[in-house]
Amino acid sequence: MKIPEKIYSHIIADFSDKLSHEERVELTDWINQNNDNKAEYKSIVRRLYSIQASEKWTEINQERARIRMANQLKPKTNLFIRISYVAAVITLFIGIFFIWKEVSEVKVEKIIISDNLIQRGTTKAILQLSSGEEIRLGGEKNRVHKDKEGGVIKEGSEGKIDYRKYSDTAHIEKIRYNNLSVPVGGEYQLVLSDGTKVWLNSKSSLKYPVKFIGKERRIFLNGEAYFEVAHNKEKPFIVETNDINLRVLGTSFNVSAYTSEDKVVTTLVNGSVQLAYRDVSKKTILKPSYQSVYSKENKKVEIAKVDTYAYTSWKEGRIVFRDNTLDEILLRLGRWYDFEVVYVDKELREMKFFVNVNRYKRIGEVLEKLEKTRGVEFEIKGKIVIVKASK
Amino acid sequence: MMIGTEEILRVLNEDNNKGFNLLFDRFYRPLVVFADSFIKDIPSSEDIVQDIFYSFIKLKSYKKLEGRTLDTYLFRAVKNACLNKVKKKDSVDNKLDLLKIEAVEEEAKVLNEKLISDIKAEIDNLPDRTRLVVKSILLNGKRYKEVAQENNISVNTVKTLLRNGVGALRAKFTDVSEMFLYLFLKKM
Repeated sequence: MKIPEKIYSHIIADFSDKLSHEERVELTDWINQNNDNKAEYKSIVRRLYSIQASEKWTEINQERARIRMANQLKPKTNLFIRISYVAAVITLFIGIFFIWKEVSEVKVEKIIISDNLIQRGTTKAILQLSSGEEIRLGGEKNRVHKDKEGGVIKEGSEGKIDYRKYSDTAHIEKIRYNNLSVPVGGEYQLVLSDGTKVWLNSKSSLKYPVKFIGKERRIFLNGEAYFEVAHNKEKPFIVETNDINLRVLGTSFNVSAYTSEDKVVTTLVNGSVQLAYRDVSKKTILKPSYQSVYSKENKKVEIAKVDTYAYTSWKEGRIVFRDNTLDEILLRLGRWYDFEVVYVDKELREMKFFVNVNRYKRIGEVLEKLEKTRGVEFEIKGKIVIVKASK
Repeated sequence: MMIGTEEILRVLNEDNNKGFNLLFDRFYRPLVVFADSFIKDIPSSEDIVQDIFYSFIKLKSYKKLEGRTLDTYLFRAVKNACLNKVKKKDSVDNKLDLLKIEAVEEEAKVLNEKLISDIKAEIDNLPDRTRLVVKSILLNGKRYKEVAQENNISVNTVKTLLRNGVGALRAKFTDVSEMFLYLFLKKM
């Protein structure tokens, strides 16, 4: 069957919603002529769609979503399981209802037009080998790099490197370090040679041995990372940062230790961690769901029970803030999206917000959510976010 | 070979966790690209699908399908969530849009990793100019005139190359009815 050229063009234009009213009528008439036309129309649309879908398919990070869902669906080991289960379902329904309601009222033009310069973070990092050689990571998936010592490093499809697969691990006699740096607006994942998983957030770096040799496993962190430490009773795992050291046996925890910030925050999800501080002599042992906040300026440590999800959700691709000040929120967003903040009305810094969004969304959408809940307004100029009180 | 929906339901009823993983493997990405045909933003589409999966498991909706098949149920849930979110002014009740959604849904239901990589390979195997035209118009949303000017060819050439390219990309038959249609048309 030969479709008229005109109709074929209409179908393609219609697929991208670029068809005029008269053209739509022409197309609809042609389709209604007989069943063969209808079937042929569908067949072409299917093919056009499959071409588009093949591109979008690879944008989806399936494993990250699976991990996030697995965590959400996990039953809570808690006395209040029943109550929280029901509450969660109700909250979910109310949440969905509110989202749908809100979307129909939102005025999108203002922020979206000007947010072209601020892009959300992506998978990227720079790997420095013990020889000093530097490799750029994150550009293409499944790339293989050969270092000067003959080792082979392969970038996995999810933006991570697995050192268990490092090819010449067996021949290493003395400790060799690699250094992974993640820039502002980046994130990266590693699996160390003992199976420990590390997620590195923006503006962070990790120095670690290619293979762990000796009585302990020692690594050096600057910035923020989430760890799932492989269990090994014989070799304690030690995380050194500028101001605190953590000693771990087998455990999942988040450390935020930016040298540019006053507070070093360690959040324990499960397992057990011993913390030693630079200017406080007493060591602390953290229990699951507890968090240690060390203030470098005040030389003090505060331990409190927290909702760990707010502090670890970044590794699952979420931005979660629960009752945090705008100052803190924009500081962390600025690291991921790479922007600076200017406050026109200084009291706004202390305003508190609850946020829970997908961190791969555009910054305009995230800021809109904040605008909606309280009396604050944002304006984006280039790579600067300006904060004003709303009328 | 894709796992059957009967099998997924059976495992879901036996072991929630295992069942969820099978459900996820089979339906997550197809549902996300389906949602994306309405929402046109992958992160938002992922949120929608995740919410639906969450309710589906928590409320054990797989026990209450009421005669509908698993894929019909899930695709309908995603479609409704998307239509609600999009709420276009030119409402989506006219026949043409409904037919388009029908076709898109049929295609999304059969998508899987293998088919997607086959399609990508087919696109890569197209002759250079044809591939360029296909990508510019279908993936980058350019107009015929733009593509013609950028490549120093006539608009007619662009149209022909596009038609050739799209026509060539049917190495695999995604369902039996399409195969019969092809054979039927061939005879005409």
